[in-house]
Order: sequence, then C-alpha cells, then structure tokens
Amino acid sequence: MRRATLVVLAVLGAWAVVSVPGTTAAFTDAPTTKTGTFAAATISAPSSIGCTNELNHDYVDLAWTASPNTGYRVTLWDANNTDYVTLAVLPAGTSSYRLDADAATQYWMDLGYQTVYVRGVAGGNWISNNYATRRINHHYDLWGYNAICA
Amino acid sequence: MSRHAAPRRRAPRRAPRRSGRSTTPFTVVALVGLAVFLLMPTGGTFAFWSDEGTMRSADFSAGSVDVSLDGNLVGTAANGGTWTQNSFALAAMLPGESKAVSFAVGNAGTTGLTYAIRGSATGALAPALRFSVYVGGTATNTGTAASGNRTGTCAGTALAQNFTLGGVENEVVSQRRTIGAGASETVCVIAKLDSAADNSLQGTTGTASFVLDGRQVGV
Repeated sequence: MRRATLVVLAVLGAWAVVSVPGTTAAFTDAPTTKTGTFAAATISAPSSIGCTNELNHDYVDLAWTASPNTGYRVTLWDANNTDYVTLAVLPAGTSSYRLDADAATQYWMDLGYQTVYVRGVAGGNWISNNYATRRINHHYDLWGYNAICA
Repeated sequence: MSRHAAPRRRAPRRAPRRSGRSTTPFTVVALVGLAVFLLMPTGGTFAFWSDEGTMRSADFSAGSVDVSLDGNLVGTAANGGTWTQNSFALAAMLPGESKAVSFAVGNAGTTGLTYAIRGSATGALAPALRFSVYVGGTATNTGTAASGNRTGTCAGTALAQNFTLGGVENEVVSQRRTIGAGASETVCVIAKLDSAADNSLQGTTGTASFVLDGRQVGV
C-alpha cells in the first residue's frame, strides 16, 4: 500500500475517532496513596555456640547470640555427619538449648563425638543458609548416658 | 458764483415687481425633495423615545471532583497527586506477618463522586505480598517483631482479599463506591507476607501504590 494511501487512511481514522458522538467530558480525580517499604527479614545464624558442662555430665547447656533473633532449629548429626535428628525448633528470642544426654530423643545418637548444628529459622519456612556448630562427646558409663563439651 | 446743482429728483420707488406668475407644484416638490435630501446625510436628528431591558444570569460555576486521602490532597490543584503513608510499612517481615492501615477516602469536591481502586507494586518482595481491602472498618495491629507474630487486621466489609500486585496497575476494586459531596468513608488495607514465601526472599523489599480512581457521579 502506498504511503500516501496510508496517510489518508490515518487521517480518516483519526477523524472518525474524534467525531464519535457521546464523548461528553467527565470530571475526575485519581490520587495515589503509596505505602512505605515492606522489608523481609534476613535470618541470621548464631556467631558461635557456647557450651557448659553439667557437673555429673547429665547434660550440656548450649547458648549463642544472633541478631535478629527470629528463632532457631537445633539438630544433632551423627558421627559420620550423614544423618541427623531435630532436637528442637526454638521460638524467636530464645537462644539457648539444654542437650540432655538421658532424654529419650538422645538415645538415637551414636556414641562418641557428634555435632550440634544451630540454624536461624523463621515462619516455619525460612532458614538461614549459614549455621554454627558445636561438637560434644556422647558416651555411656555406669551412671548412664553422658554429654560433655568437646 | 456758486453753482447750484439742480436738485436731483428722487426716482419714484418702484413697487416690488411681481411676477404675476404663481408657484408651480413642480417647484414645491423640488423644494421638499431638496429639504429631504439635505436632511438625509445628518440622519437621526429626530429624537425618538426608546427602552430596552437586560436579563442577566446568576453565576454558573463548574462542579469539582476532589478525592481526599485522610485529609490530604484537598483541592483540585492537587488532583492526581500522591500521598505516601510511611506508617504503612513493616521491617524484618517474616512469612505470615502482616500490617494493616486504615485511612479516610473523602469527597472534598462539590458533587457526588464514585471511585474504584487500582493497585501496583514493585520490588523483589512484591510477588510474595498479599493485599486485602476492606471498607467501613479500621485497622488493628498486634504482635511483636521479636516474636515474629505481627498481625494486621481490618474490620468492615471485605472488597478484595489476598491479591497480589504487579508492576502494571490492575483494578483491585472494580465495583465503584459512591461518596456524596463532603462525605467520607474508611478504607482499610492489609499487606501480608505469604506464609509460604520462598526462602530466597530474605532481605528483599517491596512497595505498593493504590490509585483511588474518582469520577463524577452519573458516568
């Protein structure tokens, strides 16, 4: 189609649009309300895990610090670091855990050196990509199962 | 010897000569025509009484459509403006946490208006934000960041719930609501981070905008 023809068609089209009846103007006002910023939390890992022995080695107390403290998941990995059991999912604001060597959940553990992992978690879905670890020695003697900070 | 001139005799006064002919009709017509002719160029020299009256209208004033947001953006000069609600925000959001805010949508114009609501959102967190819009109720926010359980709720009637917003404006409340001149109603909005938000969204941010699309009644 020749350019002149296209121009003529364009002009006619524009005229047709402009000449459409019923284009009565309407007063309007459309203000906008903007929100502030919604920011997702960043789940942080504990920087280090402190370990305190109990006198009779019935348990060890693990403690750490982190900010923001959104909650943590504490897991215990076997001696080969191939399998684990979740010891606890701690709520936001809690940054300590007592690992009881006699607790039923601990019987799963292998004897010997094992590793406690602590990861930041939130909302049941989010988890830190980083973690802190602490080794303990789990053993059995005349007084039963014992846990010692390694 | 002086000369005495003989007195000159005054010539007898001659009586005015009368033509003896009477004025002809032709002459009269000519004179009248001449008079008319002379008068014509100076026209309007004959006064005439007259009167006229003027009908003057009262003032015609254009109506105005003016949507106010919590008392902001009042006046047609501010039409189409933007009001940022800095309090409608939440830091360090966790999955499932939410925030609510309520504000008055007012008609500061002189005519009734109707409005719909469009919305858009930007930022990496935007796809995980769920919005809800209510009317006729106020916002309540509970919980703490330390507990990770901040929750915003709205009273009133739900107009739209749990919708997401993208970068392009979408109509979120299409059923137009009517507000009379000088009146207002409360709109409440909730922004919630999806409980199933992906772990990769940590540390991301998002913002949203809502357009209150007001028009004069009758259209």
